[in-house]
Amino acid sequence: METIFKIEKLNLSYGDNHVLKNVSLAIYKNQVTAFIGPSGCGKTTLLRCLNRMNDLNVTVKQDGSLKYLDQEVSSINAMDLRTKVGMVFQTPNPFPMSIFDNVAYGPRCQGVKNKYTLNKIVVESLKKAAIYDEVKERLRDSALSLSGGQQQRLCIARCIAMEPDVILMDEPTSALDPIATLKIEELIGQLKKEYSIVIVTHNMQQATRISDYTAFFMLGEIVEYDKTVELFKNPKNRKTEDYITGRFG
Amino acid sequence: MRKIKDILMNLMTYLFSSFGVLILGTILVFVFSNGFSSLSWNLLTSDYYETVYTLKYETDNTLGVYDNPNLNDSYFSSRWGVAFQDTTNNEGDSVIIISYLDPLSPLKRMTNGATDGIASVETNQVVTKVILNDEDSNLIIGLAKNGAEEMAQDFDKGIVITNLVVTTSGGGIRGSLLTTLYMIVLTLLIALPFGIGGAIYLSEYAPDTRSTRILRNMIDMTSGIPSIIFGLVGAIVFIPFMNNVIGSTGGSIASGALTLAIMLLPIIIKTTEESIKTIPSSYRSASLALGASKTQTTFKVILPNALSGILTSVLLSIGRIIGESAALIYAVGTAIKDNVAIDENSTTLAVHIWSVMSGENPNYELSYSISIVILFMVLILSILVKLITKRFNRYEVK
Amino acid sequence: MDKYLNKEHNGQRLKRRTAEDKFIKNIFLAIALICASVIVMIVVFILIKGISPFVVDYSISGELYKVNLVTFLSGTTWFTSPNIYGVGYIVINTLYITIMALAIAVPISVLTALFISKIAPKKIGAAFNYVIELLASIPSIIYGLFGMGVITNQVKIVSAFFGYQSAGGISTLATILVLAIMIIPTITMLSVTSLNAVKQDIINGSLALGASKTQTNFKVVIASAKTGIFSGIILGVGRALGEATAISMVAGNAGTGPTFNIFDTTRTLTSTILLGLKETSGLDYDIRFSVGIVLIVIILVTNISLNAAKRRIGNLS
Repeated sequence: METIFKIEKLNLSYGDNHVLKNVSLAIYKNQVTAFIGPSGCGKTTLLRCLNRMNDLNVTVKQDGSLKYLDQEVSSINAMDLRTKVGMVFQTPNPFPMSIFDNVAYGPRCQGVKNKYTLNKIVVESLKKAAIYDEVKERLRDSALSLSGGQQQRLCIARCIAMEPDVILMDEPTSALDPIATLKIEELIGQLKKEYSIVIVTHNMQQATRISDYTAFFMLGEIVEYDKTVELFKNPKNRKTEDYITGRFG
Repeated sequence: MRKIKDILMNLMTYLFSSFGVLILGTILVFVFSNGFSSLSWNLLTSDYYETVYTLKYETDNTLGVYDNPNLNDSYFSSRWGVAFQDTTNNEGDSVIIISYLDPLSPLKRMTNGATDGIASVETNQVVTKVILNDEDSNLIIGLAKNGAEEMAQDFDKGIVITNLVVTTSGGGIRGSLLTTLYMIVLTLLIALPFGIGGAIYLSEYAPDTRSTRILRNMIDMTSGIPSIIFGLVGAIVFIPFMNNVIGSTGGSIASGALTLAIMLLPIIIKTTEESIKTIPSSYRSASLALGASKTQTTFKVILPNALSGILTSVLLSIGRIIGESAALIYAVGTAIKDNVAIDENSTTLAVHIWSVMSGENPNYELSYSISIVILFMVLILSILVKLITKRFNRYEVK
Repeated sequence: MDKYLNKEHNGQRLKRRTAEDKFIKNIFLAIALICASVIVMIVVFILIKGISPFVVDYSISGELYKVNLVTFLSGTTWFTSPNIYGVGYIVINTLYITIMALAIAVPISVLTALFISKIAPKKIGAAFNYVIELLASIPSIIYGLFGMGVITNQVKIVSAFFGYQSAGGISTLATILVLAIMIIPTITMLSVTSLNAVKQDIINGSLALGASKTQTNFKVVIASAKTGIFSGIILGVGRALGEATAISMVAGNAGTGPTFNIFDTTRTLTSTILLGLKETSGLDYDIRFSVGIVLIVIILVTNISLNAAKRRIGNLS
């Protein structure tokens, strides 16, 4: 299996707060990798390292190796990296623009101007995000008129429009109702055929439903990382077992 | 005992608070009652200074027959296609004015006695005197004191006008209206880019350091400076500056605009920044996560969403420009002009009031009329600001 | 994405956009620096022009002349010819007028704010608030006009009643009244905001102890909002000290002083700068900048001391 991210002995601190401790991990291509663990254990921080969104925080100090396709992430231009590693956020955050303009935003920033091309990209992305049929009549309407679940799928479409290799998802369904959650989980199952997905989730059942690999974090360290089925059926670490059986967390 | 104290306090409260409404009411009533009568379209569009024209029409006008428009209180001369009306001017004297002019009237093709160029009389001009010749070359003299009816009859008797003295009514504020407009546009043109740019720097690019705090404090301090000081600065900095750059002499609308621009910077920056603050940071994250550059994020996401704040700051600024007097008295001057140019001095409406009120004969009536115009503009602006904040708050994301 | 764009230029595009980011950031920084430098420009130029009467010789009617700083600061007369410039009494006048105007404006403003915020039914309170907002946006020239047209006439009547001859109503009293009217909206608006921010819990607590609504309003609500109200007062003071046009129309520009009799004409720092402008150069012109320096200093000192007082009031609560 191809490795898309290789992380070795990664350390990260926000000022004096040592948030990631010696994290080593490999993320595989066309797989869904889940990060689970109690609040504040560093899983979202690690996710944000993968597309260098932590750069936005001035107090961040980072060392260790984080490679994307054998290139140190720190040596890749951040803008460039983000065109290949996309992100979907916890609370859906479509721009206050039309549905069409939201999806076309990324390509337009990259310089795509041709109306026919943009149209093609938007329609394809909306289809892949399983939302096209619901919005095809109202592409010019404001994105804010959609429901929460629809907005999140729109954000996924927006991300897909960039044709990334990786889609990072930061608790994408925690703000949504069960039905919307289900739709997105189904979508993720479809998406992994084309993209590699890394998902942070609070919901262990979700991890078991949709992920191929799971990493369990605690206090900034990876306690265990294995195929999902293995980790949940035969956890090798006592702490893992405690967490997944609900003794804490 | 407590009850009495309570009642007293309550009474005092009601009394004192009605004072505020009372004051506004008094000001409005006073300004309106005194200024409304002389408020007219004519006031808004005519010159301030009176000009006296001496005109003649030397071709024989024997065939002139024009239709009587039958205006009330006007007396028509069918030979010349002009109607006269008795009225009183701003000083209260009785005068004759031209109340109607037929589009084909020969009075539109007269010769200017002083320049020999072609001149036309206009409606609302005051007729002082006319000398005509009739068919037998007899002299007919028409005088203002004889009234409009006789003037019309005099005109009908003559076929050649050797001398017609008309005066444009003065006291108009067209020049000052135009100056106010120029001032608003020019000031905003200068102030907005700097104000919006400053706001964007502070909210998007500035690091959280001591230098940034100092920068902010410096901009804040500007808002505590009284406008008269800005006037002084404008007089010694921008007047010479403009003299060098555009070749003006002394104050100009340009130097005034620069002065007002630096005065308005803190308002524009503060209002725009407030508006940018309401933009959720998730928009920034989303944009950057899609691979957009910081510049693209600023111009495609931040700026369009700050539009309501920018618009509000524009309206607030316009209000301040219209009302500003002290700064412009120094940075431009107090000379009222009819022909307005950006590289020359002139008065805005507020300074116009100052100009006619200082000096030996304060013109109260004109000042009240101008006040009505100013108050009307200020009212409209305040309503617009309220509408904008309401409308844009509706579309805000939770 | 790449297939829609010219692949060769990918690296170039990235470089260009990174360079663009840096460039734009510097442009915005430059703009912000220019905005901040305005205050520096003001201070520098006023200082340069305002100091010259004391250090440079002016040629007046063939003689060389310099203004003595001590006479300037402590003097009680101001005449253009002979050039006797004393700003001392003007400062006293300015402070006197401001304090008197505050004495009138503060009670009215606070009580009006109380009315709008706590006593009046919602709709009437909102209407009153709108009236106050409108008053705040009326330009000072119109207040000055109102002062000249209405207030001076009333003052003339009142002073005649007291058997005092006033200069057609142009007087200290007229100045104080006009100023008071002008700063009431400012103080009221800020007081309304602070009163509105007083937590309902505190009000409920007071009522629950058996206090009446009025007692609650006066003892508890106003006390809780006092920092905000004080901020409004500071703003009002700033406006009063800096007001030029309206004051100049009703003050009279007295040549000597200080004036404490409210029916006499008076002169403030701002009216000194604004009135009697004849030449745009020379000692008479430059000395106005010196007055400008004094004005800025007074405003600065007042601001600092009032803000310090505000912090003390805040700490006492």
